[in-house]
Amino acid sequence: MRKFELLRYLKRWMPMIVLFFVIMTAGAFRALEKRQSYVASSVIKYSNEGAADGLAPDGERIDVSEIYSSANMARVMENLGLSYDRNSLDVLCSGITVTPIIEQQDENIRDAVNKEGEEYTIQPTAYIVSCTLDSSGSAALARNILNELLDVYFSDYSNKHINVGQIDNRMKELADTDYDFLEMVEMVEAQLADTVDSLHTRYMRAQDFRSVNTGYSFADLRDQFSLLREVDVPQLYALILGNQITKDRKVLINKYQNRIANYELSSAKAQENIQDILEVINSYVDKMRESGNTDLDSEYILGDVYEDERVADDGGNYRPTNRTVQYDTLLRSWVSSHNDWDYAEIDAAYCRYIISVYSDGDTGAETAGQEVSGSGEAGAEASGAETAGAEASGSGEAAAEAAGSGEDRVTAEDIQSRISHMLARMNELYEIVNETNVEYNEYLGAANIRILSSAAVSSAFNMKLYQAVIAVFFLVIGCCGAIVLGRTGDILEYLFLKDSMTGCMNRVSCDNYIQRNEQRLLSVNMCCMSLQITNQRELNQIYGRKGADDVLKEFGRVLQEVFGSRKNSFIAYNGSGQFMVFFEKASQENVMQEAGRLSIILMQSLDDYSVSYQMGAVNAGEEALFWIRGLISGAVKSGKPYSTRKAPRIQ
Amino acid sequence: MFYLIKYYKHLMVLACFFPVLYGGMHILGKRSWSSIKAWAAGYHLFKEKRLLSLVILLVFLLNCFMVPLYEGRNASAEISLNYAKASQGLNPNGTRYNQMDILGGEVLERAIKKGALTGVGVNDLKEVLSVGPLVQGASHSEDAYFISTQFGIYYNASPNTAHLKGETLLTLVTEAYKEWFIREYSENIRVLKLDFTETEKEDYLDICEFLRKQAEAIGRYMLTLSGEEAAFQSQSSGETFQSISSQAYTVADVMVERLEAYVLEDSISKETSRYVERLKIQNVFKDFDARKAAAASENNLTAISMYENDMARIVLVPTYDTNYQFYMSQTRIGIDDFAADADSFANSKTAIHSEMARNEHVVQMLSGRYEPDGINEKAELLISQIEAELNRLARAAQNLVKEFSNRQANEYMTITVFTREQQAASIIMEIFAYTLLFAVCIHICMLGIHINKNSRKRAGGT
Repeated sequence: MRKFELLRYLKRWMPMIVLFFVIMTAGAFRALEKRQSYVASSVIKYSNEGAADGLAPDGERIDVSEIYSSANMARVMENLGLSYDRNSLDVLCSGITVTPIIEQQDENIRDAVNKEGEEYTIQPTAYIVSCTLDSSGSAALARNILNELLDVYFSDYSNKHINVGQIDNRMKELADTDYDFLEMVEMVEAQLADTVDSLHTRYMRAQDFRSVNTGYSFADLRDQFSLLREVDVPQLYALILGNQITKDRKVLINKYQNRIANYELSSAKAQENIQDILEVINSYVDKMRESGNTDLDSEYILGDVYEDERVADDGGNYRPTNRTVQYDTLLRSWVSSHNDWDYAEIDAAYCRYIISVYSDGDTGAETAGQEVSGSGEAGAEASGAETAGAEASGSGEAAAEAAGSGEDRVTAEDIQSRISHMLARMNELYEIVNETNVEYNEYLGAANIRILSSAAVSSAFNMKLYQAVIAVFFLVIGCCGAIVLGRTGDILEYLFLKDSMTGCMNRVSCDNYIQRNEQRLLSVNMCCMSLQITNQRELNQIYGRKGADDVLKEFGRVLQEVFGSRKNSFIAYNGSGQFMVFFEKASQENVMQEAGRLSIILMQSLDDYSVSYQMGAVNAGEEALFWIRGLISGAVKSGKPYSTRKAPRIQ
Repeated sequence: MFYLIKYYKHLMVLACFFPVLYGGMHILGKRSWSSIKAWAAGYHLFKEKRLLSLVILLVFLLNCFMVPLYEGRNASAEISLNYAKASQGLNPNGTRYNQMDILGGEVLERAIKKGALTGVGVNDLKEVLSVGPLVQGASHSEDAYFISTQFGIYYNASPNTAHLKGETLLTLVTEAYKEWFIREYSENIRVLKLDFTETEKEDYLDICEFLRKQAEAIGRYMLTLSGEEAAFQSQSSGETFQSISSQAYTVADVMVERLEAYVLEDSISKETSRYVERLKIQNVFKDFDARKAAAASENNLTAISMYENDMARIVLVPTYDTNYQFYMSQTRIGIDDFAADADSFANSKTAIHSEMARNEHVVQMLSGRYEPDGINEKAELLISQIEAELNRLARAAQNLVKEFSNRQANEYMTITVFTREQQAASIIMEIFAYTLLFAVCIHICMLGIHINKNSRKRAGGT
């Protein structure tokens, strides 16, 4: 069998190794790519005052699931321009995880407290927010989604838990409605009052905040709205009432009369409420006295302060437990009902005043004054009513004066124009408020939720490293495979195609060789050498079986040594002492030289044996034998006798 | 051609790998090291080596052409954020910093416009540009937390953008981003752009209110900026935020007050009857509001008086006050709340009455007027003086804010675009490295062929 030659196997199977290496490496790369995933993570911390108790600034529980709500993710997709047909909202949401960070110290405390048999709840304030994408995404996309999600969440958090109470512009389309002028101005005044209060509250909460987008602070905006409220609105009132401007006087008067009726009903209801509450209060106090619960001394004071407990209301929001005693609650109800009564009376007086302006001016003013005085007498609790009544009479006269004034009459078109102008200015300011508010929400979000660590991306596999390892692995596997295949080939060749004794190809191989080349025209350089041991029988008799076999072995060895490395060489033992050698050599002369050389080598190596053999060699080109059988015949025919000994040995 | 340039380095490596593999197999296939040395020694006489030198020279020239082209298809730049809030992951205005803004639509559009880039759109640029932090932390441990303030921008050409120079593109994008950032986060001086046209049709007292609010707006703005950097001073005028704020409040407190006093004392009005009428109507409405406040206050006081004595029980609580002094507090009961509410409503009523009283005073003053309706020259003069002063203060404030913003803007970020000149040395090294690699590999291949040829010759005999 051939020697184990690593490089021979590698050389022989190199194309297969390369092909295997390329295909498997590419396949493994594709498989790995499909299993790749990207995780972007960032660390946030809630930093408002109640965060350690798990509370947002508005007192509600911090709910981290808001981070990956569908609404937020939908906004993220919109901002990033991700289409719904290529990206699933649910898949993206499910890829977001929020993991609380629990300090070791807190865990130690919890363990220690639990050992005492008490319960201890850890309330984390820091969280790791992660976004995981599969191989269809990329590291950059994961980071972008996470960054955008945090931006959207911060703003949303502020909107929901800090900067609650939107400043809506309910007057946007007011100019196009069919409200009467006075109604419009009333609505605008109410809107402006709310807006000024809201803006003032926001200014007080963040006095240093100034929007870089709009250039305004909340105080600047408050002052702008205040100017409208203090100048434009009163001007409009004066013009409308002073000139009794209305779209439909009858409808307007009817409306206010209806309002008066409603207020009177409210007033009656409030009075009834007051009576009921007073009854309850009196019964309550009487019973408390009778039962001796009003003579309290220090024995009735509990020894501990009961801490604030929070209970969920109907909406699922946690609120402090209300421990107000019933007596205080009853008195509150009494105050509230009395306020309702007084307000109803005053609002009714206002309505009468308006009616008086649009009817006969004097009548309206006097009636307004009288009715206000009446409510002052009826309700002793309403203070200043008589004075107010006198003032109302006075202002009724003012209205009457104004109504009577014929100078500079203002028309409905003038009023409409002024209202439109004022609404346009309001719309402009509300746009600025909205823009300022958006930035304020982002600012508040960032102020209440700190970033501890920016978005960092890691991939499941280090593709370059894995690829390198896989490439080396498959290269080694390929090489090992080639070695296995090569050695297997050697073994199979030895078992089935080689003659074990001589080490040359066997008869079967020779026949196969001849058959393969039978239909093929031989090249001009093809040579065939035939060696036939002619005294094999004598060799057996003289040297025995072993000796004869040794001779054959030596013949085989020498032939392989001489012709084994030749181009396209084929050395076969055909049995019965016959060797066939095929190789390529340029000329017949060279072939004969080879034959001569061979005989000398055989003589040298087999000088102990007297071997007679016939050797012939032909070149296909020179002898014009281009078919293999012809070449073989030619070689046999050209055989000459040779011997390994010059003279026989004397036994 | 684009893909040839894109994968040139890979092709070069393959062109080196296979020959060296072939040659190496032939060399290592020989059994004896001495024979290898012998053949190697004879290699220098190998005739085909001259052809080999020519091939190596051609490869060198090819590298000189292709490697710079390859590097031109890739470029990188660096942005470092230098302002104080960057280390907290915030923008200068306190909102959260988002690195995605670097390649935002607005920035890329601006870059395209600035460079007059043709044949590319925003989406094309988004495909070839990427941004990422130069150093990123990790979330697994507190020690690994890190807020990135340095970002790398990378350009990797595509067929659509192959005609663009990477360096130029990155320069445009980074400059556009810086301009966008400065515009977005620098101080907005809109509130300092005064417009007095709206006041022309207003009456004088309303003008006073308007001018007062304008002055307060300037004063408030300057005060806010003073809180950020009180020591900042204008190089040209020497003004500080605090100084301009004081001047603005002085205008409100002195000049406007003077105008108001003149208007009232001399009963100046453009349309007296209309103004008086307005104030009277206003007082009617305020009266209703005052009555409500008074009623609510009175109701709370009544609730206090109704509170039964024997239902009122408190306990004294020794504690500390806000100055950390001993203080005897007490438990709270309903009376405390009623008292607080009554006080609040009473204050509200008082405030309304105060406004009503002022209106009445104005009505009284205007009613006893001596001047005819219309424009009053002296009032107009005073107004124009105030407007001039406010304009002067607004201009001074604008200049000061611009100086402040410019200084801050220069400190916002540092941009570095890596040019090919800076990379020239590394490009040259690459050219020589690839050429050398090819030369070595091709020589090994030829040596292998030479050894193989000669060993076959030797085996064939002479």
